[in-house]
Amino acid sequence: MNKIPVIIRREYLSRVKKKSFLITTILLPLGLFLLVALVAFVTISSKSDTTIGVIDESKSYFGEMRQNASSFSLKEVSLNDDESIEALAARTGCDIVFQIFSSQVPNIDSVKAMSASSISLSAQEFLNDEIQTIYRKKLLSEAGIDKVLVDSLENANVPFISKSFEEKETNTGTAVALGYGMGFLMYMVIFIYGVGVMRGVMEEKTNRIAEVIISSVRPFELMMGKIIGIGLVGLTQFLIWGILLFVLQTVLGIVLMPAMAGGMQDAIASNPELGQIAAEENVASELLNQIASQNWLLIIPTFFLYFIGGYFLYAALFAAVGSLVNEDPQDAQQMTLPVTLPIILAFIILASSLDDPNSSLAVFGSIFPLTSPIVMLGRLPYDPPVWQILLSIILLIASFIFTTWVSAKIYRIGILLYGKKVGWKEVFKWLKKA
Amino acid sequence: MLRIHQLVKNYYQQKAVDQVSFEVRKGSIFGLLGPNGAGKSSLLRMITGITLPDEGEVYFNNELFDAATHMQQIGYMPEERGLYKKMKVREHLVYLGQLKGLSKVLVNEHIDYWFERLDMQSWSNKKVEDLSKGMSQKLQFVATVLHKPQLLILDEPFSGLDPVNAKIIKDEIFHLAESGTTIIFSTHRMEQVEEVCEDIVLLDNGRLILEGSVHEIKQQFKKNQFALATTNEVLDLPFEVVSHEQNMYILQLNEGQHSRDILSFMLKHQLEVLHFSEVLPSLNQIFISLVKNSAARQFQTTKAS
Repeated sequence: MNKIPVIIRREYLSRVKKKSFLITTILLPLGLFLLVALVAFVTISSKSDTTIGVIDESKSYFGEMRQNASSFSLKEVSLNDDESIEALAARTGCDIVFQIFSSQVPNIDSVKAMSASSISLSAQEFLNDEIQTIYRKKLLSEAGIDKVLVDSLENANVPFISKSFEEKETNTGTAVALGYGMGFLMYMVIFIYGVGVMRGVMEEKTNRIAEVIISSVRPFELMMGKIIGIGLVGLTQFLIWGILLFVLQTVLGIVLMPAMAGGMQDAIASNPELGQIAAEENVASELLNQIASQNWLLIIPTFFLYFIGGYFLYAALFAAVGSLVNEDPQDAQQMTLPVTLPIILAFIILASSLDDPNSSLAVFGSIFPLTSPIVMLGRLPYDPPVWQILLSIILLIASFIFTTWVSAKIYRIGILLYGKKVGWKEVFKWLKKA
Repeated sequence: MLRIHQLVKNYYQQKAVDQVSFEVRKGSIFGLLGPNGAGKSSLLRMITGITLPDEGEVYFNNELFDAATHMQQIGYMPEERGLYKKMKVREHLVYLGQLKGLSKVLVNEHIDYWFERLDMQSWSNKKVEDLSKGMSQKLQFVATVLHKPQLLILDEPFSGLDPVNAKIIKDEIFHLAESGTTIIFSTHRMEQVEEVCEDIVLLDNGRLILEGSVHEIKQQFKKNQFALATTNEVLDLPFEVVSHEQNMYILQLNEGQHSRDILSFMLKHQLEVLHFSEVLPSLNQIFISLVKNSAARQFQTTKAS
């Protein structure tokens, strides 16, 4: 009779029911998200209450500066006779006094910002940007170049389009982000849950329950039950995270939208140009287009294939390692090295293959089964040739079956060896014998 | 019930089990003896289907052992045994029972039976890690017998048990044997074997060096010695005196002498006889004499009580 389901159930429930699972799965991301939301909320809703008083001697800056000031309140001030800057600030209620001197030396304006304490970075950036831009425009128009022309030059932009030969939209930015994201996710999954499997096996061995269990079930059943059970824990965790993300985003949207929209309207009201720009560029829809242009029909199923294949491949290896380790945790480190090394290698190849997805290293890495689950996921958004994907998947499945078989052999012997340190050399002897 | 035939198990360069054959009768309590490292655990692992023999066969109820079906009918308590520490007692038993192929309902029925029998009802929701050593031993015993195995294999079942709990478990073992369960009892503590087992085999260095019923073996190894107790001071017994303590004599009968000769000598000289019996060697003594020249050096002798 097949008892794997019974084992899966225990492995799954014993982990999911733990307090630490609840904390890492729900409370931690929730807390993190709330923190981020709080910061975002504060940033959006709190307009800087810094008031900048501008003494515009040349009379040609203030108007335009005011149009662009979205997060500072600007007012024009002027010095009375014999009044100090400090007294002016006190009289007009300004935090910063920004003085624009009219051309002392012909054609060169100079500015000076003063305040009681040091000026905030954002204020300094704002003032500097404004003054430079307006100054340049001023110079251009003074040189006889038409103001309309200057304005249009300001917004001049060559649209950059990259397409494949079949005229399919390709976008390197989203491809890198997507590839890196999927590769990194795989890397995390293999490490977190693979090590989870190893620790589970070690626990059973040091607890001395393994022999009791395998007098009822085959060692292979115990191993597979554990691997599948922990894999399901991982899926549950991802599912919960996904739902959390969705729910929180929605909630956040509802709560923050009015504030954001309000802020936007204010900005547009005070600066009609901004509204135009926003409407023209429509950054968000552009991004959506790029995301939609990805070949999701290929990416989603292959992602799951690599996800499952990669997890099983490494989980089986980690299980074998766990069965060889005795109480000494240093042993574990030594024994895991041959398993963790290819994972780290895969991650390094992933990074370089995002730069050049068709380099021979990237192609090799995405086909070699120990690295393919991570590297191929990174290459997927770049539309790698179909034969490479097929070859890599076939190899992955074959080696997944092979490692499971080998691991089961090692596991079967290792789990019953108490108090004896086993080296890889001896393990190879077992395999030869088996 | 169980017959093993020419079993061999090799670990590198070392023969853990070397051509061992014996048979266990249904409903008997069978002792598997041997010093540490004699190959008992290796042998048991083959019988329970945990490992496969390199050579030889195991027959279970006259069928060649098949792990898929016969594992369910065996209850095995290994020497190195443990439990999941974080699980609750009942939950744990349910899990182990299900692994033996019992349905949830049936498992719970059996648990209730054993909890009542061993007075463990209050443990149900305790975590395993909160149990004392003796308690978890008891729990392990219950886990082993939960599925009503036809063959119960206990490897050093009394190690770490206090006398009270050892007695409880021993009584349960007898009770199970009476109701038809065959029991293999593996140990290196001879005095327990004498109390419990009917048949034994003795392993040393992976080889079977002795087998038979406890009674037969003792007969086989007796040295024709008799214990005689008398109130009188006997000065010149016409027999070889092996030892003499107060008024208890251990006499060695030589060729041509009979036990009745001792009694007739006593009668003739009008001497009191308080006690007269044949001296049978303890299994411990037999065991030590047999394995003296091999692994016996590693073997910790324990005095028969």
